[in-house]
Amino acid sequence: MATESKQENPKQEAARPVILVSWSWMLQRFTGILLLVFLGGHLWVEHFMNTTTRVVSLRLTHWIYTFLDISLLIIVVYHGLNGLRSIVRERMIRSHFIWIDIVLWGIGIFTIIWGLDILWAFWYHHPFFVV
Amino acid sequence: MNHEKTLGRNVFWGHRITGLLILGYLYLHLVLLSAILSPLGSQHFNAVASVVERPPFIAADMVLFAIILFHAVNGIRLILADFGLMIRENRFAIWTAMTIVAVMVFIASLVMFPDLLR
Repeated sequence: MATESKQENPKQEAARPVILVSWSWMLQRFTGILLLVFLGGHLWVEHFMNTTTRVVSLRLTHWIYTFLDISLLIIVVYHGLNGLRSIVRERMIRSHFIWIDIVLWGIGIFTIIWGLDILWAFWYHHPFFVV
Repeated sequence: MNHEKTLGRNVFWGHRITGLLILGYLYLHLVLLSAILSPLGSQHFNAVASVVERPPFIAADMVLFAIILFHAVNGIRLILADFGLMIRENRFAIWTAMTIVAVMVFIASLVMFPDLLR
């Protein structure tokens, strides 16, 4: 009966806080909070450790770094491309929204595979795909 | 009131532009790390790593860090606003966020300064 109450008292309905606008909106906030921790940790580690193949490989032998790097990769790609999606959607007509999603999902999956390939190369000093 | 709108609009665009710059950097970061994927592998990666540790790149890192900090601290302010916090004190919140960014960038510059002199 939400529509009835809206007609009866539209002001009261408008004042009600909207908790979940959309999944993408909520996940953008959620991944943003996670990034404070993961990216903060990433920058901290990178500043205080040397960046050589040996150091990065040794670091990745500990599961916590592997976990941090894979998580950061997935979270940052989602947050970045979802942010781009919201900007692009403002400038596009509704019927094109599905194409934005398809293209961005494609880019996102490609980027994550690319990042995992780099991590894999550091683990074993040899990549799946050679550039 | 007009000033508040201008401030809010600037920060809104600042958040978007820094977000796009960080997304662009992500791909630059992956391109540089892809040195490990070349046939020379670790040798090529070490060569690239030694180049990006030179002073001009450290200076660029400082700018990048400031951009990330702006996006992060302003992002926290936006999330607080989503929960209905600091909306009436919007102007104060924006200036507080900018002050935090400035202080953190200053501290980070002090930490990173020795790397500039290497």
